[in-house]
Amino acid sequence: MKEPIFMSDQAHPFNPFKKVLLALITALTVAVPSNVHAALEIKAQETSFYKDMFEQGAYYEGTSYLRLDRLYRALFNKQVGAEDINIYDEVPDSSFFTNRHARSPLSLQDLKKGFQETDGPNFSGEVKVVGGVFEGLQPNFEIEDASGARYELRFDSSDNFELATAASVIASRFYHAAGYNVPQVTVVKFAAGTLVPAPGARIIDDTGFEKDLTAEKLEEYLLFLPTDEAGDYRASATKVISGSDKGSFNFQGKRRGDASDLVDHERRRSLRALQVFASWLNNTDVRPGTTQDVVVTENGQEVLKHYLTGFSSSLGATSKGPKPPMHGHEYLFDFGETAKAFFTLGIWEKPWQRRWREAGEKASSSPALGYFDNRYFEPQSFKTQLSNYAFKDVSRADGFWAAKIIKSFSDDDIRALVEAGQLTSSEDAEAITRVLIERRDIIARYWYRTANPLDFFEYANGTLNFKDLAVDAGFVPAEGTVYHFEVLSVEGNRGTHAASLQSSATSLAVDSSWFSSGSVHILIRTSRPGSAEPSLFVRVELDAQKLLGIMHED
Amino acid sequence: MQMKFQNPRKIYLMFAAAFLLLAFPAHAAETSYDRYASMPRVSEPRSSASRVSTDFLSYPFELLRWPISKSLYLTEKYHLDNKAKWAYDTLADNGITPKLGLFSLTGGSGGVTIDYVRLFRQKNDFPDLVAKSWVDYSNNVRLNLGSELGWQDLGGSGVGASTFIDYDSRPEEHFYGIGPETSAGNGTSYKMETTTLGAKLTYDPRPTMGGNLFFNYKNVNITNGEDGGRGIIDDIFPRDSIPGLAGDELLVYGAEVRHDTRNQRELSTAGGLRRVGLALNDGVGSSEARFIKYEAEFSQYFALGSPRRVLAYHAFAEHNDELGNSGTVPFHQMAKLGGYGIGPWLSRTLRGYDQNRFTDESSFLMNLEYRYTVWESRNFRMDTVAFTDLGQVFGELNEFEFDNFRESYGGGFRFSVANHMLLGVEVAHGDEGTNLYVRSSTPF
Repeated sequence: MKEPIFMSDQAHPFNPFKKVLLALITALTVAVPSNVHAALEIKAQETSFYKDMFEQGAYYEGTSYLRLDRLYRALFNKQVGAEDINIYDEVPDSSFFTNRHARSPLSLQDLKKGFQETDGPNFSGEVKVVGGVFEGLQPNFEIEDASGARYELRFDSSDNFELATAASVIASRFYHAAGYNVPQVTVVKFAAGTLVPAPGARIIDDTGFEKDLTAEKLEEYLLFLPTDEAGDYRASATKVISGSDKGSFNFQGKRRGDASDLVDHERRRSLRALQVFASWLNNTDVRPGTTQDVVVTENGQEVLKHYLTGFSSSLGATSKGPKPPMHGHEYLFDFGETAKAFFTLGIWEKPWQRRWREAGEKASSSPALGYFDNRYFEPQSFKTQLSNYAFKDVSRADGFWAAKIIKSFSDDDIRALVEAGQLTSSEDAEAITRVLIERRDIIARYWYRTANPLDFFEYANGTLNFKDLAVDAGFVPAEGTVYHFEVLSVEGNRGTHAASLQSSATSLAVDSSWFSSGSVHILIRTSRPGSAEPSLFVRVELDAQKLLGIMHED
Repeated sequence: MQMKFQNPRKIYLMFAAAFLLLAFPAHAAETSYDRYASMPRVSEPRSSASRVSTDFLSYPFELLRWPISKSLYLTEKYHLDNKAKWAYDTLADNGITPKLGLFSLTGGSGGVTIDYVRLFRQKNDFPDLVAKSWVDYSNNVRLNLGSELGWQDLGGSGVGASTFIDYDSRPEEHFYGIGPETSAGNGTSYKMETTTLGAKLTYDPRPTMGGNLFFNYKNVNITNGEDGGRGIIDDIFPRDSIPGLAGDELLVYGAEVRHDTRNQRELSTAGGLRRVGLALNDGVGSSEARFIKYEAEFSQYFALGSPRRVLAYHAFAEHNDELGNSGTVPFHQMAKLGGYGIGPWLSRTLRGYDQNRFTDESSFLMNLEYRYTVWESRNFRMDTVAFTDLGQVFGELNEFEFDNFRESYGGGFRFSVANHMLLGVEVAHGDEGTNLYVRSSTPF
């Protein structure tokens, strides 16, 4: 005979209130997961550049001074840890992020290919233009190929052939390899006459009014576009993401209606780290408007997947031409930099002004490169055009995590990714590759120095082994580097000092007596030659059998 | 436990496996646990500072955020900005150019110019023909309307000629008396209506050089001002003590030469403007006015190592010299100083003082501005300006005294796009107080 779930009051002195409470909790526990998997009823969140500009650039920036917790943290240099991390201080796969290259290096071919659903639009026959926008002499067309797949075509500005299209494709490959969801983006080339207006197609021209797209109009729009030596047009083709479009996502708060979105976005390491990835790729346009949420069905369940979508402001480009000199150095509305210029009576030359002056106030002589180099590049100072709380909250542990992923790209990996941009000039491709390689190392060097770059911990046979990524990368010499171990025997929430050790080896013999209370926390700090101050700590949690957790100090 | 390797092949295989493991890139090192396992860390207790949320302090501002965000979103979604630009361009292409401006925190100005040559599609046939009418209105400050007919740059010669008619009504012109020592307490206002019929001959041989000869007939009518808060000019000042208080009819014969090397019309960073002019004003009918007006203006712009740091200097001098024993200079045609200067007012820039604060036959004015850019993005820019103004009015030239200079100083911000000022906010302090200026154009 089965035991009843609840025994009698005599057997267990549960009062009726506790019973009801327990039943309620049980019901809720069962109910919550079922909600997660129910059909998602999520309202599309619409945004636009103007809205983002106001909210991210002015409103949240201005009202952040009313958030006393932020003021306190800014004043006392306190950081708030990420909450989407696992016990090993990594970001597990989620609808925002999937560990790819850092987990298992992708082949050069896969890196170059990126996210691919199709081979790209089929230009072997006529391709229908079903809609679009023509603004500033640059059209964006939505096309439908013979297979019925839809793509958005974006073109380079007339003076900068290959610039924006290459930047879009290259950046999308990097983001995908790093772990983000991106749409399929490919470089396409097609001959004049390939595009034809679909019946009933409408286009919004620079008057702001929607008009019929006729063959004559289409030809007129294409007149403004640059072509290659063969007379072919070149564009980036972004495949329309399959699924139910739910607009954009914000970089703060949770997505309303998505029960699986349990962590505030500003507390997601995967989103905070976009600031670091943006600094690498010189992507100055990361904002709600360059994201997209889509409900897709995976394994029979509806899931809200979060995509990054706009990449044309990466590397040396913006969609309208070379990157303006202040991009990457200042926010669109940068109160701090403005105040500095104000109080120094304009005598202080801003870093971007100095860089621009030294460049002769012009972008690269190659139109396909735009304005992209590493002069005066400082990872900690890189700014996207519009800021957000997630980027402002990047902690040292977050930065280290992102830098670790960035450093996982070898020189050859980067070269392969740049090849995806299909630049005509190998010198241009090599120039971009060189800047990215240098910048990768600048970023890794900075974050490895700022955080404690110990990782890949292994515990076996009574020995704790780990890697010092800064030494492995050759940023600091192994000789003279000393690791300080502070061992705490932990029982419940209390820790008792068990030992203090130091070693120049990246291993530690773990004494079995330290486990007398149960588990052990080992705080490891690193001191470098010539530096008196030891680093932040990395906390490694062990029991006698296995490694329980890792935490890099924020 | 001791391992035994009886089969050498196994040893080779193990070596091969070990080699493969070592050959992996360092950062892709395998670990014996799943580093990426979905095992969320139980959050450490947050610090008290991060636990406390003061979001509620920003809630009142949410009432502003929502409508602004929504408006901006809809503007972009329905391309209202492009539609507005298209509407403006279409009107201008068809000869109708609307104008909007700002001359105070609450005061705006608006107007329209109608180019009949464009309106009637005659630009191709008559590219040099000028035929236009205009109306400009600034609430309580000015109503101006007129028409012009003529030719400009005839056949590329630089020569032009036109005739025009203009009506200008100023309901609240301020007047404090004549001379450098007038009292700020004697503030009065008057209404001035000027109707002008004129003709001019222009010659602009080069873009930087030009001049004109002109002949005008002016009818100036003076009545009580419409500013109820100020004294009535007739009550404060005896009618016979102020020449021209009954109005005047004037014939004006004049000439002007201009040398303009500024690199931009507004917010120049190099070059300068030199202008000299003189005009004989002869009263007709009952008017006793008979005088020559001399004007000289000079401005120069120096980039201090960068176009983002500019020192701008401006000087202006005016003298109205009575002719004969009976000739007078009407007060309404005298030199005037005070206020921001530019825009619908007649008086020249002496910030920190009321507009038209000082009136006399002559004036001398200097303005010095240090302009520096504090923010820019693409074509948008915000400059900070620190300035000082120094000016005085006087009667005859020998009455000029250094002790009579009135000075002011101040600063502000100017927001511009493509070197065209959109909005400026400046504060100036003089010995009569502090004034705030909100403008959509620079004083020089």
